[in-house]
Amino acid sequence: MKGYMGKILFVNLTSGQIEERIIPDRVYEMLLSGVGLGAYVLYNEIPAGTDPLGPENVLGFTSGLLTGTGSLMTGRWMVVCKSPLTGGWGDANCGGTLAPAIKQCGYDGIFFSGIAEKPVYLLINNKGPQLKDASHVWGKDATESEEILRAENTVKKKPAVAVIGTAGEKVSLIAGVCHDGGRIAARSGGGAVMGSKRLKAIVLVGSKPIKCHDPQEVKKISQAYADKIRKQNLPGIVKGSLLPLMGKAMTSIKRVAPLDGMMFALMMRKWGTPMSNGMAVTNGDTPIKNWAGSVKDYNRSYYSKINADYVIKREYRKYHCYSCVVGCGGVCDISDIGQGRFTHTHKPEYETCSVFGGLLMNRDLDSIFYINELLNRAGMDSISAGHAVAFAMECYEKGLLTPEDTGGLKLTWGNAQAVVKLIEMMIAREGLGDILADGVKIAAGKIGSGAEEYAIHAGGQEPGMHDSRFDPQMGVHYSTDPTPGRHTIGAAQYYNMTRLWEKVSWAPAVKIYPKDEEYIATDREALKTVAGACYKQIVDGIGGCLFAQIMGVQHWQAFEWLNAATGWGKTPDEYMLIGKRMQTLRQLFNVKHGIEPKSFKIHPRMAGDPPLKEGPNKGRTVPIDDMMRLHWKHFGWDENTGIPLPETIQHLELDQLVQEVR
Amino acid sequence: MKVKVYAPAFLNGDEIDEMGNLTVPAGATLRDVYKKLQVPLLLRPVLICRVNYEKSRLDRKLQEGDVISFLFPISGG
Ligand code: SF4
Repeated sequence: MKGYMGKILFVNLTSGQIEERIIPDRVYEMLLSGVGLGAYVLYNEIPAGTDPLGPENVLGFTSGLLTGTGSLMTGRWMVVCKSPLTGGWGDANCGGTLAPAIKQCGYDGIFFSGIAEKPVYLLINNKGPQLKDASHVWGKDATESEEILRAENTVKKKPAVAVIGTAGEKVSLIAGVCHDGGRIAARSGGGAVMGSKRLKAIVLVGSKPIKCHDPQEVKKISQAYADKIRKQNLPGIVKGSLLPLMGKAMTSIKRVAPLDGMMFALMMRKWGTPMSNGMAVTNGDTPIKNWAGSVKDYNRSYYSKINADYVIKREYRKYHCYSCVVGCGGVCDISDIGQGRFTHTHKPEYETCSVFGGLLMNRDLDSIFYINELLNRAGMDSISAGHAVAFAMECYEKGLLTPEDTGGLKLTWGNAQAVVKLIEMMIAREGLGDILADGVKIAAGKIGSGAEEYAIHAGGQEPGMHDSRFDPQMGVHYSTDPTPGRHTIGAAQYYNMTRLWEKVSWAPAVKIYPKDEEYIATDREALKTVAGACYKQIVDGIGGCLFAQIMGVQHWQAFEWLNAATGWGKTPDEYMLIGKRMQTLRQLFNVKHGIEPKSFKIHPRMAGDPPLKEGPNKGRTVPIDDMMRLHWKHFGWDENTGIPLPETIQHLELDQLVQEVR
Repeated sequence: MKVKVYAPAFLNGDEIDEMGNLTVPAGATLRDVYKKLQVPLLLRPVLICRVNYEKSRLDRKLQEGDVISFLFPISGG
């Protein structure tokens, strides 16, 4: 009765053997559930040196400790695996309805090893878990497959389905796992691992109750939070066209303030993440032209075309994940685009709009909607795919790729038609598309002739669309997280709004400060990135949403919900120690698999080497080596190598946790 | 008395402490907080400000512990 189910399901796809395993309470108390449970299982199950696409890799789907307890915005599920993209720890998370379904089937996680002889899917219903033939949906896109599998398996209750599209089947290393007709756990190449196992989908229909320690207290905290959120509505006079002006204003102030995250909800409710489409261009957050340009290139005549208002103009229905009171998602009508090939698409996120907008110098919003649906159906990560196209465009500009290499495509900046065609080639793995479908690092290796100069990544994974020259803490997380290149771990913007210092004794407090401070490697800045990373682990352990996290600990009360759900009575400092343990175990996974943490450092361009000559980030450089060193030091990891120190492993009791299951 | 103020960086937040508290005299109004923060007159009609997450007039009398927030963007997603 502590919010978790206490069991996992383990499926060997080679032998077809399915077994339940009990997880000791102590594991949850030390690592929570979600990504922590995943790290516990994968650290112990995957032998060092395992081929990420081989039978020994383990792929897991986990839900959060707080999912289904009555807490809010805690309904995200996670895919965990050894990543074929980075060679190390891989995870990605996604909203929708799968997380509660995992628990309603009686488990906190479902794990797969081995490789099936022919395509299969896992069905869990009232008859228990069973592997079923998936030949009839193999070769179909994710949305169509999901509809078929859902229809086939609906008796009373609609199943929750996680499924790969054709990108996963073709083992594109930038393939993700899809859900709910257009949501995707996109990062780390989890879809490629699923495809390599010939596992098309998991289909879950459970009805087990999710019990917790003090449901009344959980409800009370939820009620207070929901009441605040429901009051948040933006006056109609605030138009999307104002947002880029606000972004511009941010750059002229040269100071930073810790703001009230609740006001962020106000904008999220209206636009969702595309609220940043123009604003992040003018303030310098959006990387432009493969990280070599600025708003001087992607100027008003460009960014005004992808304005947030134009995005929501097509929105005909709002969408929210399980247990969410914000609802940042939407469904958009695109029946007039691409000769009516698709009727609708999930509202493209900021990441997709900007990676297929500013990064490619593209101002054709219709093409972005269309690409969004192509990628959602194929199950390909838009961040990585967009970076692969940007890389190809720069190679084309520099003469490393010729029209002969591109199949006649003119890969010039902003050529929307060529971008659509290239994405189709990547999905089909045809010609140049086949090379790009495994991400920029592998593509650069194949193209050679110095192409790696234009391959923007950290440790093999393409970065999120947030410029580390605008927010150096983002660069530290891109470089030091065991899954590099992710924009969801931390940033100064997130830290300032999360306000950890109100509850955590060692998290540095923030008042209004000069923006320049963010560019200096100090112990204080490092403590902020460490605190941000530890808290993010907690969020990923409970199934939390990043947007809830950055509303602040004074509003979204993760620590209090945890105590109410589990009865553990821990302090925020004690929970942060759990976060540190989770992050350290993920790092140890990488060390076990031969990753040198230093090799995850961001591409020089991302640190301002060479510095930009124009725009809001003009002349900005990030002392990334020093920042990484200090971050590792304050984590209790070797400051020169990034390897967790023996005394840290002991202090976090990881030696016992890992040994007892070996 | 203390009220909690989340002020954007272009305002004068010097008197706000690290926990976000601003000390104002008992009976102070939202207008008094605007004065302390030196909100430019021209900006007052366009600034989106909430007291305890509700729309409020400038003559609203504040209570101990009230929360005053301003809308200012961050980019995320
Ligand atoms: S804010 Fe958006 S992503 Fe987060 S839980 Fe709500 S709908 Fe899902």
